[in-house]
Amino acid sequence: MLIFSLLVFFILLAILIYILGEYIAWIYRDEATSKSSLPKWFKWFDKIEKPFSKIENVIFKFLKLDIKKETDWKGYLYSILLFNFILFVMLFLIFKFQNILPLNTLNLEGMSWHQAFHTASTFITNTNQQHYGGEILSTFSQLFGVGLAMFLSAATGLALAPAFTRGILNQENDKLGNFYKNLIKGAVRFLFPVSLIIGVFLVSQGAPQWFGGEIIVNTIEGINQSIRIGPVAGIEAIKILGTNGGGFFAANAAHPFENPTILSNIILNLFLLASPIAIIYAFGIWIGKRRHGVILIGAIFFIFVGLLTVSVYGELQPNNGLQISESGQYIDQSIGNMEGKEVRFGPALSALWAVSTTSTTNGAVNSMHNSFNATGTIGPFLAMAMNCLFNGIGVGLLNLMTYIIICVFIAGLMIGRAPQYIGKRIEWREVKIAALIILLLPVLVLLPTSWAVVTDMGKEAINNPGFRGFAEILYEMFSAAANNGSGFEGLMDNTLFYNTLNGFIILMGRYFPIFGQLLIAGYLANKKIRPETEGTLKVENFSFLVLFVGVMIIIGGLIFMPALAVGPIAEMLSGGM
Amino acid sequence: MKFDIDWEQQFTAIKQSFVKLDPMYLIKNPVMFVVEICTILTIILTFYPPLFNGTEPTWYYATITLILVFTLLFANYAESLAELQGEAHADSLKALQVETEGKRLKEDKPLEEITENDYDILPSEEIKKGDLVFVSKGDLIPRDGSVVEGSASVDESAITGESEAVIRESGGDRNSVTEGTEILSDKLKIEVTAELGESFLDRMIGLVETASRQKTPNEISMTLLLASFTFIYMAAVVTMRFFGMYVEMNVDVANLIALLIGLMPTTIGALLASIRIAGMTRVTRENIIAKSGKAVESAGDLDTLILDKTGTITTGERIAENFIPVGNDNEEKLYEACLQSSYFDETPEGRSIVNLANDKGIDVNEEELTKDNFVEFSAESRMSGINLPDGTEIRKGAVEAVKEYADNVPEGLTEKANEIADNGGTPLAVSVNKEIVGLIELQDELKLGIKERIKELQKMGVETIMATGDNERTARYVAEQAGIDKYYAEFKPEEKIALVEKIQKQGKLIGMTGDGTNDAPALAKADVGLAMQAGTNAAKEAGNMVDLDSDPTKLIEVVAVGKQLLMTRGSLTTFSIANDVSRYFALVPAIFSAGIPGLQHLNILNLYSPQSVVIASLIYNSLIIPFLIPLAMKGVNYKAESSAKLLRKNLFMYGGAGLIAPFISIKIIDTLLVMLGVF
Repeated sequence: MLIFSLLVFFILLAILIYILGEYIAWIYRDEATSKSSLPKWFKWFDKIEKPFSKIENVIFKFLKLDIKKETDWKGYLYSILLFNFILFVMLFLIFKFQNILPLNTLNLEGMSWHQAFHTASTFITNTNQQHYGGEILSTFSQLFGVGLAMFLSAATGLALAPAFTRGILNQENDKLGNFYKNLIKGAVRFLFPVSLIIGVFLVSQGAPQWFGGEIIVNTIEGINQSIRIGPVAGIEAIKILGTNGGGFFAANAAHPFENPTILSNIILNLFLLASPIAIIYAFGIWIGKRRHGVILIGAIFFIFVGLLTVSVYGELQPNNGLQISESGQYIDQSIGNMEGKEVRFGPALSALWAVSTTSTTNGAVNSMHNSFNATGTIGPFLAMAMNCLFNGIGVGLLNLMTYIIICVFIAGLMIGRAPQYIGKRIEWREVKIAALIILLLPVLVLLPTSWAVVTDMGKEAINNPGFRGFAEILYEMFSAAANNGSGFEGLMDNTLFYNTLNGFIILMGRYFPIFGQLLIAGYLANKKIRPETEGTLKVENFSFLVLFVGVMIIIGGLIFMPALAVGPIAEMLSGGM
Repeated sequence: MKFDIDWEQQFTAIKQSFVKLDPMYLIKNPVMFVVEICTILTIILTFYPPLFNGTEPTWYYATITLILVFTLLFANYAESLAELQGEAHADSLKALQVETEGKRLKEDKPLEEITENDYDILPSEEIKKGDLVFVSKGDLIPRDGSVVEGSASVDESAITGESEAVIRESGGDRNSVTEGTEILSDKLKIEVTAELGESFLDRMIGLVETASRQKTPNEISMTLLLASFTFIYMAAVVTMRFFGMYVEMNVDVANLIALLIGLMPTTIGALLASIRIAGMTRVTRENIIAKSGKAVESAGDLDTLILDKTGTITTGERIAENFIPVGNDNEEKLYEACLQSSYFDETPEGRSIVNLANDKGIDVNEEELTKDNFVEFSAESRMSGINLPDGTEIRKGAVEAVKEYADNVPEGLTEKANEIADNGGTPLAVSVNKEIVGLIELQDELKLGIKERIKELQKMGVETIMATGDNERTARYVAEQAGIDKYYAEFKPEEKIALVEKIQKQGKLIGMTGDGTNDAPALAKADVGLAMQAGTNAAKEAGNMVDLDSDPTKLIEVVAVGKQLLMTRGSLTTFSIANDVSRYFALVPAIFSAGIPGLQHLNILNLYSPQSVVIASLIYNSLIIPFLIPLAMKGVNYKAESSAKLLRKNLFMYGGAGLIAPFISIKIIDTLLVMLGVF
């Protein structure tokens, strides 16, 4: 039954990826110099071109943007950094001074500078790691801080995909496109309309969308209870679609207002996976080989299913802590580990969500990851270790390409050819940068973890003793460095130490790879396209995928084996914390 | 397979292995450099353990140090041995240069007038660039030069190994002569073009030696990749010490070093240099001088080869295939005429006509034929033949020439001649007493095995283009026969450069051969330009490889060597990376076992103790290097196959071996250590 439901889920996922992928590819068909045309049944996309371009032109005119001007990789990077910096300053000020800003009906206080720094960093980078409970933000902060950043950080990521593709498809031409044009197109055509659809759906399921601060209800106990509400449905929609993950409430998507029903849970989980994956599919369309996109997705999906299996299996086991409880009370654990889970979702759907959210850089959670059995946490940990498998919206494609470059290099040699990918030669400069990008994640995770686990500043935030406490810190660093943003929870992380440390990790984890990947795109753009022959490397065959998965696991995953050995693996094999 | 061991070479290689321990030398190889730093750390641990809180016994640290030193030595040995073998081959080329004497002309004089009084006999080192020297039958050419006057046949077997003599003459493409080769007939006046020690061969050998010491661009990428992997592993291993602190255990630095060494791609790191040098040596062994390692790698990566027709695809010798009677004359008469006319014709065509006639069982009265009556081919008549004692004039020659000479042209001659030409052949007309009796069909003979070679190239995805000065019909016929992808007929050598540029514009890598001065620009432009030793110096300067045997077909072999070089590098890298899996599962639990006993569940191999695992893993690491040296030197097996097949084969073979081999080896070494009572 479980396997059957999962099968249905993945079939629905495939359909959604197909639709979103074709749509995203259509949006950027010119910007990415697409080599494919629309399938018959999507011809109607062309009919919505006009209204969209009208809206966009108004925005371009209003912002006085010269969208015809295309830049090389440097210009593109400069635009991204400048734009994100402005966004950062804006967010920092909003969070710090929300007490004197409007729409603060509950008279909430401003954040401390370090928390504001961490929160601003995390939202501009599409990470959405939260060192605060969502409830402490005013409606203004939620809307113009969090909400706006969720759209713009996702659009930033989205805008990178066609630029990188251009790097591969260009024939000795260094222009990658216009960042602002890509940014606005992505927001206007993809993020706004699709999150509107999701939002309306959520409202239909019972999620609130209101600008008030709270409602006061008289409970059956006769006490007044105040319940925070706000523009929940809208924020939830873009949170899921834009691989953001920052919840309106501290309980994130486990909260019944964010994720009211089992149906909403499934739909949100589908979109959560589909949006970053669709861009990989769109990449296949742009380069004129839909098959290639499908195969890339399939290779990662293979790892995904492996991790999912481990996690679902782990969560279907009874909770160790509850079983050895001294209370003597009998707890029926036949359906698995229910600690920290919503009854309406259950262990399997919670595990599916946990692996989904960590396989993308989403970071929304619908259950307490810290309450997972040790075996169940292996999936989320390894998913983040491999730099979030599918990764974030747009940047996921770039991360995938980073691994591809390393694999193409090795595979090319194995067939006795100088390495080449879709007609572009891979030389030492690209290999060097790709290797450095892959090197970055271990450095950003392991060094801070070491620092945190041996100092009091780091250790005092730990909630659980022993291996689990280690896992809490490790998870926190993974979540920051891989720009995932989900919380293991348990760690008391709103401290000067964690706010500043994680803030910097998040910024480095976002912009260093983007810098490197755009540089690679710039190098590739200037190269000649070599035609493919019988002798060139076929990146579509099974052997290449075995190599790709192998490199992902050995270089990406196993490198964290020593760290995991002290955390979840130790707990798993020692039979407890 | 040879088993004779050159002890002197081995001794030198071992000596070199120690010399290369110099950190300033090793720093060029980041992986081995890190191994050396680790060795220094374990030496410190051996003598003063408290510096890193070492708590293990001294013998343990000493053993680890020893194994690490051996790892370094093995790596250095692999490189030294490859270098020495390469040098040995280069030296064997040098040995060709014997002490010679030269006859320097006192003044410039026409060749025919030179007498013994006109030159001084000097030892060759006294001859300078620009001098004119005289050589005649039996002399060795004292220095590289170009022929100013005369024409002679020269034995260049000392350099090329080819026993057949070659013609060297002034003007044209065959005017360069090489030091140490012998004049077999006639005489030459030569202008010396090289200073002492600067002769072509000297410079080429020098190039090979320096070229094989330089990293190729692809190898630089590989070094960078391996270096970054090393850094990743360092981050993973160094932080383990802090993680250990968290679970209140002292993770021993020596154990971490063992893990780092295990994870680092030491195998490929140690063998990288020898793979390159051995690849270069394989090229040298083919009697090809590669001026850079890059050229060899590019050869493996070629998309397109431009091949000449004559000498590469065909032997250049036209062979009689058929006698075709024309008009009313009977076959017998034609056959006899053919045999008679060619009886004294020493050209390959003439010999083949005689052979064909003999095959057909033709008999003529040999007494009628005397050499005096033989009419040699002349450029004017464009015919050769014989006059029989009875006055019969038998002639054979180009169809046009014979038509002019004959009294009348029989019906159907032109058609039949065209038919032969359509099939790529060359028709010769035969006449008896000015009456045309028939045609001889000459066919350009394909080189032995060329068809198979071209098929192999196509399997590898290399496109072949034939460029020939012949007419369209001949070109098409030969191209079809040999299975060539594309051909250009009536092609002038000067057009080659344009063709190379056109193909390069499509983003393809191109290889070509050439020997003439007018080939030089194209040779220089092509990604791989294989010049013929028999060609002009201009061509040899322009190409990035020179074939001492002057066999253009060898371009195909160079492609294979280049591919094999890259494949060896890629396969051993895959092996090295796949090795890591075993380290994670054997070493990580062992190292943490003191603090986290639960991890012992991961000890699936049931290894004896953490210490034994560490030692066994290090021993494996060190021994795998000498074990793989033969593979690095010989190169992985290479057969022409499609890229998909090659990838599958190499990935599963070397990746699979890399996954399994260390598990088995570590278990065996562990068991042996226990059996020997070490633990």
